[in-house]
Amino acid sequence: MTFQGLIIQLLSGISTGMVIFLIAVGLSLVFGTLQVLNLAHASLYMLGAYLCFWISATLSEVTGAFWWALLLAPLGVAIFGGLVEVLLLRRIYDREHLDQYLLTFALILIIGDLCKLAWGVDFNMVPTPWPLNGPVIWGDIIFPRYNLFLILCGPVVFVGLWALIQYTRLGKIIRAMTYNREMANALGTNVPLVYTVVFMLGCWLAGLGGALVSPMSSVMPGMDMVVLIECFIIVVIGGLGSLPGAFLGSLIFGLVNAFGILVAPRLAIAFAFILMIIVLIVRPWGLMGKPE
Amino acid sequence: MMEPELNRSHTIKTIGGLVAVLVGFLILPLFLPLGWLSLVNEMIILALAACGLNLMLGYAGMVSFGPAGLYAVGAYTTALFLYYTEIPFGLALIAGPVSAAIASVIIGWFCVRLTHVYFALLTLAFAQIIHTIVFEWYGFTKGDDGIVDIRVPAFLESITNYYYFSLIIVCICLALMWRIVNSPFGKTLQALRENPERTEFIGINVRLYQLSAFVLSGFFLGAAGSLFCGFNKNVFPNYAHWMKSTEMLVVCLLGGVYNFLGPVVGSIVYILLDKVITSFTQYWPLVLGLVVLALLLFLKGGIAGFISEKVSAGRASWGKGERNV
Amino acid sequence: MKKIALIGFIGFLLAFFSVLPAQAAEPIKFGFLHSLSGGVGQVYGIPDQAGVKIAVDEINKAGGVLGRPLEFISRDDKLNPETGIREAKDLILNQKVHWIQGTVSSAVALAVSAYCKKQKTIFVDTVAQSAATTGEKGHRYVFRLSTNTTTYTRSVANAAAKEWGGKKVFIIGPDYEYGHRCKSDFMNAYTKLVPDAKVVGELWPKLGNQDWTPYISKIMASDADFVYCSLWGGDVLSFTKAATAFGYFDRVKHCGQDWGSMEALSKMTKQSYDKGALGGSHYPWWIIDNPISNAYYPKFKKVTGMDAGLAAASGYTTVYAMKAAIEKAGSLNTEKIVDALEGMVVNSVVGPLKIRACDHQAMWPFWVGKVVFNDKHPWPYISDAVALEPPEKGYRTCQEIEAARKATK
Repeated sequence: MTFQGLIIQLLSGISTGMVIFLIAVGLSLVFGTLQVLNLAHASLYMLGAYLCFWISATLSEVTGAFWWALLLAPLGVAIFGGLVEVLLLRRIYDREHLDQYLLTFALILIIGDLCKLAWGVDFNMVPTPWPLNGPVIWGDIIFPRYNLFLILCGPVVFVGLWALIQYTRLGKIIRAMTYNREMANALGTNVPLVYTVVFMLGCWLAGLGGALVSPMSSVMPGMDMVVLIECFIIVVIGGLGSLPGAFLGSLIFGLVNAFGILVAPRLAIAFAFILMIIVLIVRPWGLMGKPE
Repeated sequence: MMEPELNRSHTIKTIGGLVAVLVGFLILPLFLPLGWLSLVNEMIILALAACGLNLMLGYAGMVSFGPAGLYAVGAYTTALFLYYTEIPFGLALIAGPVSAAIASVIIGWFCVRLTHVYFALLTLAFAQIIHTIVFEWYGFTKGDDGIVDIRVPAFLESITNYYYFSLIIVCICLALMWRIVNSPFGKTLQALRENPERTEFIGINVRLYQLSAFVLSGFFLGAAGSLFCGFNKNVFPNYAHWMKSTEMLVVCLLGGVYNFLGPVVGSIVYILLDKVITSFTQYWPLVLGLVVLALLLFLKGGIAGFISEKVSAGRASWGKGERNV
Repeated sequence: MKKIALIGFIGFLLAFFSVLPAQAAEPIKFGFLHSLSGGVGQVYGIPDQAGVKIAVDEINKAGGVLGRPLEFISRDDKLNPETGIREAKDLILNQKVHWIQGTVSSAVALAVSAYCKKQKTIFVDTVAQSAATTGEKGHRYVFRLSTNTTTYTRSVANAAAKEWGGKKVFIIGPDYEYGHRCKSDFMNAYTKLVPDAKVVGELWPKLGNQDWTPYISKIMASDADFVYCSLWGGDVLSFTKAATAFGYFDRVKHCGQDWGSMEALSKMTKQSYDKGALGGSHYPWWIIDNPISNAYYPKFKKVTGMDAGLAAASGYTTVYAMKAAIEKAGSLNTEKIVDALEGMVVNSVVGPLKIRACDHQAMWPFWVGKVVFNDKHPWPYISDAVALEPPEKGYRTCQEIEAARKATK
């Protein structure tokens, strides 16, 4: 492979990594604070993509329709998530883990069919917004503009979340709760409210991921299942609950995928899994998580 | 503590009930159309798988996301033996749970070192590896074409005969499981589920017990897989898919994980629901999701738990001597 | 606790009896087993069913078959072989259908075919394409009224050889048996035409893949002469979208059997379509000119609002073929119908179709052409499309089939 080819493949790997980071970061955040593995996280991502498609299609006459959709779709998912948290999740926090898994699994089924009911089973396209459509051509290197945009979005979201957690009051509370929930409660934090807010933030991030990623390919039923396992893989590798871990895990995943398919096309799927298994066996709390 | 008098009549009623159910299953072929008998056969096999899973889930409190992996190991072992060799059907059938148990030893050894969500995710990862191996290794396992037209002895060709065969095997397995959960081993497992630290404190090797539960679970899951392979006369990679795993978890929840026969009730209801609902609507996942939500929020012990509560509440009100409720 | 079992059992019996189906009466019933839910169902199962319904209505209006009306019972296989077998059992044992037709997933087709063989019931594969169904795993009771993987890989190879003739081939396909089989069938056919052609790169994304970036970048960085792509369904659309962002179709010679099909192209837009690709179609009604087709596709559009593609053509044709066979046999006896079908020529939307006796495969032609988008139609379509002449050229010979069957255990 030529040098330019390697550069493009590297960019592709980073792009894939940033995409999966945007999708999965909310999952890690919610687990870190609420100690709940939200199996329906990818379904919320799908909901975000559908909302983005619907809003941008409804507003197709308006200029900047996509950007409006990008603004509104994550909010829609966050509101939906808030309702789910208040009405359903709250009742199972103190119960067995099995109940939590089954509840979030039921949500996968429900959200999936709700999307089908609302938008049908067809494949849908979200037009790539101007000026991000088309490729950037730099000599022999050709790369889509939109993917470059996503590569920028990854770190922006990361920095934004980092700032939120380090410098805001909500962030301090999140950190306190991640360390010791009982203590935070004893110190007067309104734990239920914080749970709701954090869960909504996680859903907002999932919806943002869905909206951002939607112009890259199609919006269709089953798109949640395709990424669900990948989300697990990266949060395990990076460390459940760790924000820098999620970023690192995503990058590793993206690069392993992009270069794996160069080396061994048929086994590429298994690489990420094997990595996950190795991490779980050797260092279950991931590269940057904290040991239980 | 129940009085001895109440205890004896309770046992008689229980055994009577069991016999009635067994007789019911035995005479079904006399009046049920073949297509429906085949469905009952599916239920029985799923019940065996779910009970196997429940050994780990309900009794030891270990939530696995990957039971389908071991189920598939059983199914594929039997299928591959029958396809590539001439060994008798019975041997191939036994090879299934045995190899599933062996696989469980290896997988379980890694998994029981972890707890909770990490345990669950590692079981999922292993199940996915099994799925990938079966899916990709076309030369040996025929990939997603699956192995179809598996040979079965002539007397097991008919639906009725295979039904009786399954019934016998499942009953034997259930009897074995019943002995296991009522043995000191089984009681220790339940103690472990309730409070692992305390159990460890009194000198029990928690990891060893969990591994044993994992392997026993794997054995019965493999048995169910092999039985299903003979029933359908085929195997496909999606026998190892995580959707199959969640199906088994839902069945356990539906019936009730704290009841020995809970998964049996669960599998009957699940397959019936699936059949009935899919004939009305294509939104079966939505209905299933709502059912699971309803169970989690309102019927915490599953159907079996619900009925059990009602029955013991009823018994308490009969006033046949004093009773601690 | 045992009481639950008893109560549960009684409950279950009651439920059973309440759901037992009513007994069949006069009409001739057949089973329609397909993927009816989800994206694949929308693209293949639903149109197939619509075509079948149109055929059944037409036939019943004209007096039915042997004086009796046709009736079909629809079941969803959910793209899952277990469900497919369960439904096939119900159709054959409970509903007592005379034949089953349908399926889009080759795994389901193979499983149902094996079951129907045991039950001595006719199974007609209408969409699922694996050549093994009528080839290696073929038997007396399975038929296919549609193309198979051999046909279209040969047709595409033929077109690629004529149009480009390059020696370095890049392969990309979905990572399951179908994709791998397409690769070997394509290279088999192509190397006969371009002898020292070889595969210089291959990629196997999973079905339903969302992120195409690393795949497209690898293809564009390779020095292949052209790409053979066996992606189908929704993957065609999402790949096209992602590839357009790379300027792929301006730079890469791309071919594949599903890249000219109505199912995929009717959803593409002027900004994002597989310009210049060599694509195929099973039923290019805009090229075909015969009375049956000319009457059918407008009717299909009127009734369903969709443009007819493979599934629409195949289901419709199968019903008429079964009618012709039953009438020729003069009875509903399965063995007689099988004998009637063997060697029969059906007048269909794609012209006269011969159902070969040795493997029960209809000699369905497959057209390949270059994708263009102009004012003639509101969607991209293949122009200057040609099919192999005679259609038999697209299929393995009877001797090859026999040898393949012997070779498979």
